[in-house]
Amino acid sequence: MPQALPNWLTPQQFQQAVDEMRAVVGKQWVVAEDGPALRSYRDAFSPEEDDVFLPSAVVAPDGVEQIQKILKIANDYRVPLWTISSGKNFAYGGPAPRKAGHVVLDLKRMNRIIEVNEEFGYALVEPGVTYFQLYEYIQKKGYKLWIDCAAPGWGSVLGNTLEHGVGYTPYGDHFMMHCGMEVVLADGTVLRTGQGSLPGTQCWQLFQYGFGPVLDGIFTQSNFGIVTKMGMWLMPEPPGYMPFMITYEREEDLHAITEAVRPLKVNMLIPNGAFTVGLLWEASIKTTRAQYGDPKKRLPESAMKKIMADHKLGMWNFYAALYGPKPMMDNTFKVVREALGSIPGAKFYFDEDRKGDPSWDYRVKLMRGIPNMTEFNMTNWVGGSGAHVDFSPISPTRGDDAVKQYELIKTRAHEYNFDYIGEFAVGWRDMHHVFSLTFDRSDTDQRRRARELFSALIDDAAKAGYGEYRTHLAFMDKIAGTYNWNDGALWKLHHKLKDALDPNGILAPGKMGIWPKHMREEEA
Amino acid sequence: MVSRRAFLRGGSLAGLASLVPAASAAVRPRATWASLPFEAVCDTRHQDGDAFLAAVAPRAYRSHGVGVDPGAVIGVMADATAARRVVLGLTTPSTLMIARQIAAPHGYGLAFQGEHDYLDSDRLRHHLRGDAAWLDDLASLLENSADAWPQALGRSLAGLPADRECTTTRAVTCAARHPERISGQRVSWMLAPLRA
Repeated sequence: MPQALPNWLTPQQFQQAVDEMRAVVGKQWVVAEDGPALRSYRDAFSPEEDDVFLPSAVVAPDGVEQIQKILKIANDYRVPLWTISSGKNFAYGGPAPRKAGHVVLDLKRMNRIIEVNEEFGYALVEPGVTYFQLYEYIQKKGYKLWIDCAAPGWGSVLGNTLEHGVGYTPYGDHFMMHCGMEVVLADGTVLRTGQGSLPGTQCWQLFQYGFGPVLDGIFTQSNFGIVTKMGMWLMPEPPGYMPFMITYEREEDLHAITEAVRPLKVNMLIPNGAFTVGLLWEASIKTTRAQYGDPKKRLPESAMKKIMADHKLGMWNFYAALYGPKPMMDNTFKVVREALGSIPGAKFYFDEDRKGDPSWDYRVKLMRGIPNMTEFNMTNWVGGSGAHVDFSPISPTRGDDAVKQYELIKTRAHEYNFDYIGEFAVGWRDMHHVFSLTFDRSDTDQRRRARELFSALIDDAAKAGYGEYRTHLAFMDKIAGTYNWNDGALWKLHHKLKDALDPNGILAPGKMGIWPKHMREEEA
Repeated sequence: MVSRRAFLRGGSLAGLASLVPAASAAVRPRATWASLPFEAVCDTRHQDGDAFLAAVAPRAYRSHGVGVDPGAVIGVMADATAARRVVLGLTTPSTLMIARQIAAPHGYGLAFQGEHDYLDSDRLRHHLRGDAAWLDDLASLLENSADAWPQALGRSLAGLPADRECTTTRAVTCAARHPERISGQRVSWMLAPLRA
C-alpha cells in the first residue's frame, strides 16, 4: 500500500478503484506497489524530498475506450488522475503528479502515428509518440519532411506542444504549429476541435479554426480534458540549410545582440527559433564545473576567460539558421551579418569551423529537426546527482529587458551560490529566457537553496512585470498567483471552467494552480 | 582507443595488453552465484572506458559505445530490458540517469553504482554502493588497483550477482595517474531486474 493517498479516499476505496482499473487495462498495466516501477514516476529532478510528488499508482490505458472506462471509475470514487504523455517533462516535474498519492494516467501505450501527409506537411499522432519515433518513421518512409523537436528527443510530440514547448526550426512554436485535437472530457465525452467536428472533413489538420470558438488552447497547460490525438504541421525539407553561430566576448554585449536581432525576427529574416546562449550553458554540455573550480561552489568570474579560451566560446553565443534556395540564403545572410556582425568582437562560425564540437553539433541537429539527448549533459556540470529546474520568464525582444532579466537572475543566483546557466530563445516578438537552475539533488542544502532561489526569482520577476511561461510542479500555485490582474479574473475563469467540465475534480488537480472545487474549499 | 567495431565483439585487444593487470584481479564470484547474461555500455571518449570495455566485452552478450550524446543508451536499454538482461556500464552520470529512466518501469534497479572522481595530487576516489556480501572485497580490490581500476572493476562486475538494490556504501581513495584529459565524473553501474 502506498504511503500517501488522497485524504478523501480510504485505503479500501483506493484498493477497490485500483482493482477495477486493473480489470479494464489488464493487471500488467497497473502499478500500485512500492518498488522501482512506481518510483520511476517520481520527479528525478525534484528540488523537494523524494516522496513529495510520488504517485500512489500508475494506470496505462491503450486507447480512448479504456480511458473512458478509467474515467468512469475515477468519477465513481473521485480518484485524481494525473495524465502524462511520455513523462519526460524533466526540469518541470517529469512524470510526477502535483500531489503525492494521486494516480498517474500514463498514455505511453497510445503511441500510434496515425498519419503523416507529405503533400500538405502534417502528422496526426497519439500522446505516446516521441520525437525520436516520429523522426525515425519519416526517415524510414523517405518523406521530405522535417520535424521540430524539443532539446531532449525522448519527449512526446503532443505532450511538449500541450506544455507550450518550443523548438529550433522555423516551426519552433509548437502550439502555433498544431492543427486539430481529439479530447476526452472528464465525463467521458470525446470531441474533436476545429474542422474535426465536421464528419467527413478533409481539413482537420489543414485549418486550425473550424467554426465557432477555438477551444484548443484551453486543453493546453490545463486540466480540462485529456488530449488523445493531435495534428502537427511539419516543415517541408528546404533546398538549403545554413546554420551559423556568432560568439560575443563581453557580458554587456547582450543588449546590442538583442537590439540587433529584433528586426531580423519581426521581419522574419531569421525564420527559426534562434538562441542567445550564455557561456556556462555552452560549457555545461561538454565539461564540468570541477574542471574549473570547486564543484560545490559557483564558478568565480575569473574562470570564465579560461572556459572561453579552452572551448572557443563567447560570453554570449548566438545560434540561428537560414533555410531555402542558396541565392536567397546568401542575400539574407548579408543583412544578418551586417546587423549581428556590427557588434565589436563578433566572430562568425559555420559548419566547417566547428564540426565535432558537441555544443555546435547538437544545435545544428536541432535546427534541422534531428532529435538527440546531448543537452542532458548539462546535468553533469555540478557532479553528484545533477538535476535542474528551469525558471522561464518571458521578455520582450528588447536590449533593456534582456539585460534587466539577466542581471536580476544572475545576481540572485550568485546570492544563493548557484551559477547562471541560461539562454534566450528568441521568438517572433518575445524571448523565452530559460535559467537552468542546476544543482546536486543528493545535497540537501543545495535542494533547499534551489527552492528558495526559485521562489525569490518568481517574486522578483513579477515585481518587475515579467511572468513565467511554464514551471515546475512545486511552483505552479505561486506563479499562478502572479497572474492576478483585475483581482485574479483569469484564474477565477479557469476555476469556473474547471468546475463545469470536471465537477468531481478528477483530472490533474493543481495543474498550473487550477484546483477542483472540493480541494479549493479544503485549502480555504 | 579501441575501435567501435572492436567494441561490439570485444575484438582485438592487442593494443591494450599493457593495461591488463598481470594478476587478472577481480572479486571472484562464489560458486553459488549465477552469472547472468549481460550487456555492457561504455563511454568511448576516454581510456578508462576503453579499459573497462576490454575487460567486460569478452563475456558480454553485446557491448555498446556511447559518445557525447547520452541518448545512445536509450535503444540499448530498451532491447536489454525486453530480454531481461543485466546491463553494466561505465559512463557519465547523465547516461546513467537516462538508462535508469528507461529501465525502471520494467522493474530494473541499481544493483551497483560507483562514482570515480580524480582528485588533486594524483589521487582517485571510488565511492561505491552495492551488496554487503561483496562490497568490501570490491572496495579493497579497487584500493589496490591504481590505474588498472577499470579493468578490475569490469571483470568483477561481470561475475557478480545482480538481483537486489544496492544499499551498502564504501569509499576508498588510492593513488592513480590522471588520464590526459578528464572531461568529468565517471560512474560505473549495474542495472538489473530486481527481486520483488
